[in-house]
Amino acid sequence: MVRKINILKDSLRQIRFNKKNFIFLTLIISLITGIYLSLNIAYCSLTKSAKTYYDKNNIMDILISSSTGFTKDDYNLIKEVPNTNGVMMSKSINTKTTINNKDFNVKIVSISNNRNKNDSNYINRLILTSGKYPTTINEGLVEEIFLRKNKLKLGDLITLKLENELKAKKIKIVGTVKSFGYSSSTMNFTLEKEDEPKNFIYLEEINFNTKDYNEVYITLNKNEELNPYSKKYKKLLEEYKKNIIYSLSNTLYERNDNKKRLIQNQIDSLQEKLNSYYNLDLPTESLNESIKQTSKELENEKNKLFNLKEPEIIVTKNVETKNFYDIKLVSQNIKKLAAFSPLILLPILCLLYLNFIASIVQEEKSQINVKKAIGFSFIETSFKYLLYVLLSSFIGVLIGGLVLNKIIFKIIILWFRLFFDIPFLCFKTKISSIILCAFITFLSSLITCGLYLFLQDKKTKQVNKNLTSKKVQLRKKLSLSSKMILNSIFKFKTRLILEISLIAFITTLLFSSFGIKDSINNVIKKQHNKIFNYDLLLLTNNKELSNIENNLLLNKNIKDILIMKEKNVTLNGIDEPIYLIIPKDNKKLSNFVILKNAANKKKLKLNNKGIIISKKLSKKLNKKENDTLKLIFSENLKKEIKITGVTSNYTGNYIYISDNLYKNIINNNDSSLSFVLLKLKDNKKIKSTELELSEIDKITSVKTKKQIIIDKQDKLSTINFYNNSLIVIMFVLTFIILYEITRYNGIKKKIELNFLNKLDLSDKKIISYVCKENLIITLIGSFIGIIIGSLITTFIVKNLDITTFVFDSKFNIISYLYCLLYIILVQIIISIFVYIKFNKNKV
Amino acid sequence: MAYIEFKNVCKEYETGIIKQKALKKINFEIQDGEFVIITGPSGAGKTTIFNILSGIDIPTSGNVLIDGVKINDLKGRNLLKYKRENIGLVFEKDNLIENLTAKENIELSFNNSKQDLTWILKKFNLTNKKDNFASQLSIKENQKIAIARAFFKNPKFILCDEPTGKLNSKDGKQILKLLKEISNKENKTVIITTYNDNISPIANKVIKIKDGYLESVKINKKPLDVGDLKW
Repeated sequence: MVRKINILKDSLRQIRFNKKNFIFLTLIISLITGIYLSLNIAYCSLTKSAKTYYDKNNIMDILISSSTGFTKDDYNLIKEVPNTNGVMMSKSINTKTTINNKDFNVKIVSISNNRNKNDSNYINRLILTSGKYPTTINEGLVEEIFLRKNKLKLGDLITLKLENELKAKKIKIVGTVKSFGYSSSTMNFTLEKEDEPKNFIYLEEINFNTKDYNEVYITLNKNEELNPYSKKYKKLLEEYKKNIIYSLSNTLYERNDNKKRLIQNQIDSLQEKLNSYYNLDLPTESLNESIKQTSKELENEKNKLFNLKEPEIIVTKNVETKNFYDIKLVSQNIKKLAAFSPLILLPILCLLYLNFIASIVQEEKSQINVKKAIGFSFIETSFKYLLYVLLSSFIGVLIGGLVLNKIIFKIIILWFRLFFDIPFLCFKTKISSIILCAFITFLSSLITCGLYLFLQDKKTKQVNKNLTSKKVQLRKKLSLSSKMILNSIFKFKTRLILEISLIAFITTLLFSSFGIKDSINNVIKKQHNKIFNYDLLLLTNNKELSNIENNLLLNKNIKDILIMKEKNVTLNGIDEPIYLIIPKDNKKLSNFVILKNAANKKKLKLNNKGIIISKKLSKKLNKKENDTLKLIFSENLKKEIKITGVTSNYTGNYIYISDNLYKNIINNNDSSLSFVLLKLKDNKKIKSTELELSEIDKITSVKTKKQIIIDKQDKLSTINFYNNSLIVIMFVLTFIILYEITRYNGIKKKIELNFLNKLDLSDKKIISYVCKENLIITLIGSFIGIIIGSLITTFIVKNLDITTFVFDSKFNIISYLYCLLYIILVQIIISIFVYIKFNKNKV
Repeated sequence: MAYIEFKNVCKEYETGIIKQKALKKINFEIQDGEFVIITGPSGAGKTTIFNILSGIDIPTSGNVLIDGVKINDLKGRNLLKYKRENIGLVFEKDNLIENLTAKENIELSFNNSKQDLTWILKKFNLTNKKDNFASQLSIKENQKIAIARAFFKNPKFILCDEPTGKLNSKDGKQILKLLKEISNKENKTVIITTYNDNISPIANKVIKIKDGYLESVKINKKPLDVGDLKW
């Protein structure tokens, strides 16, 4: 019994006398546990906070919009649709404003008159963050970020570029609001269309001249516990979508027909009136005046009839809206990261345990031998070290589980708050998660350390006194310092392998972070350099593009023109936006968009027999060449079309369809966006050409390819922030691990350094000796790490599922260099620091 | 039958393709209660004999019998039991567990004799030092504690590897006197391996090893007292 108590005393004093090592190991374990647990609660927090926020602010489940608008009568009709809970009608206009000589696309949204928070019909509730609600038509609200970005303050005026849509065009900002329905702070995982407004201005409904509403927000009767990202919820929305289209279609078509009939009647009566003038006996002058007046009226009515749009009901499920989708995507990725993290964290933990145990066994070799000699069993000899790591794991898991995970969680929440303007709920870590973590940590420490101690115990005694003749010859060629370095490196082979593995592992992680960053940054460039082949892009709101084409051809710098249309389509099972691209001329398409078979890289040609789809889309749909694909243009217009090719693509889900095939399907009922791609003769004159073209009537925007790349990369900056954070974490981790390795090596070298000091070698020589040895190990480790890192990153980017991006697995050479330089630099600094520290304490 | 018998003991170490013979057919006998010194120059094979006797290593061929037990056949728990019950070990240095006090180090021993620890501390003149850690003790005191720990378990024999190697002649003589006393008064077999041939006259038996061979076995009928030793 006394023996056992003394063994326990020995073990506990080991901790007391090696406090620094113990604290260091404990902190790393707590950090690893903290990261793992915080990722798990971050996922729960994000989804549950979002749900609480949606419920509290009565966020819509469904948004419906129509090309012909809604009237107040539709309100009751929608209320009668089964499962409808709340209905709110809203008016909105997309327009432009100029602030500080910079043009902005803005969306003007009406503020509901009903702001009763207990009323289920007050949907997408606004949260007033400062100021007051507007009291006159000249007042409006904006987001706080809008004020900050544009250096505006409450009381400033904004002038809107509109014709007759609003009663007041000069708006005084009287307050700031938060709104989930329209928010500019998003992750931008989805790259929105050009010209889609990111800024919002809220005005009283009374300010809008139009009687009709163009958007309706709807909430559904649903179980309070229903997760907004569950399949059950998605199914509920899907069913409601069918019902609402069914209920509204007849009314809207009927109303449209009535409108048509009224205009037609008006045309008929005007025509009759016009004919009657010719039979009248009136003075020529007066007659001519009347004919002219009536003809003008007739022409107006005819134009009205021509421009009258066919009713099209667009039903958007909230899961398809940007904020909702981004939260879903982030929560899914965090869930994946939480599930994937043990694969990174556990090996780090095991390697650290191994490194620690190998160092301590090396340090205490004579003590272990004494114990063995006086009859200690394997368990008695190992007990001290196992207790050390187990106790350190226990305290580490406790700190990580009870304290550190909360801090890391708060950091994650702070990061979320940059993108999602919702109040986050904090969750307590489940005791079961901490117990599971403790169990895994204990098990990994027991297995790694126990196995190492067991193998050391079983190691057969060998004398390494003789060298083979080859080695002797090699050694003769080396200088004294090289011999010393080689001896030192290969003296402890197990530790050498461990150190190299650990360095290789952290280099793998570091390089993976750089590699993923490269892949993300390359996506946009590749899409616009390898797929799209144009110099300028023009956006237009005119359907009759032939006039514009003629106008454009007058410009001497234009080499080639391709008019295209773009339309959003829906596909079963895909929430992401899918763009249908309709070139006016199939033959010209290959000059502007390079369509290549994703498998054999052969050029693809668009024809009237079918469509060409992008590679990622084909992967998601599990469709290949010669399969058919059901395109959903609207609830009443679905069409199965043959896939004639699958093309390489880097960003966006695209479906290319010929103009003829498209016209056959939609029967000229077209509401697609038109744009023009241009190639220039002289790219040096691009700026002047851009200016000249922007003068042309009906052209809403002219953008150079370079500008588009910059804009889109800017939108990806948030993802880059995510990646940069990962790189910073990896930098810190690399530093900690390299410091730990070098420190242990320093302990190993303590006696040797004292001896070298006694030999009166210069400090410079000793530092170079210490650095060289660590540097050789670091170089071997980092080279192995970079090779493994490239392979792992290639695997990750090929399987990474972030929206529509197809990541590239070719990495920039600069990333390899950054990675190597950082590790080498850190290693040199730490080596010098550790040497100086030991030199100060020399015996 | 002798208490300890070394019969044709050979030991080879392999390094890659090179084989190194550390012991070449060694034969000797040690009687119960004898004070034996195994001596020889550095690299002669003394430590290999020490390792084989203490159960740390096993011979490549030949037999080692201790009190009729063939120890080269012992493995695992049997070997551990043999080491715990029969052998007291003393090394040249680093004998003590650094994190334990002198008293606690002695208590680590497997006590078979039911001897009182206070008596042991008094016998070895360590009462005042019992609460000191190894780093707070002199080398001589460290060695004394190691001998006390070896003696505390009441072993069949005490095996010492260069017990005076790190000591000056005065302290060395004190340690040897202590070991001699244990052998004479407590009738314990004490075996010392050392390169220092000067201490041979105090032994009952001197076994000389050179280049792995047994050079000579000399029996001192009248061994010198430690005090008379010229060192």
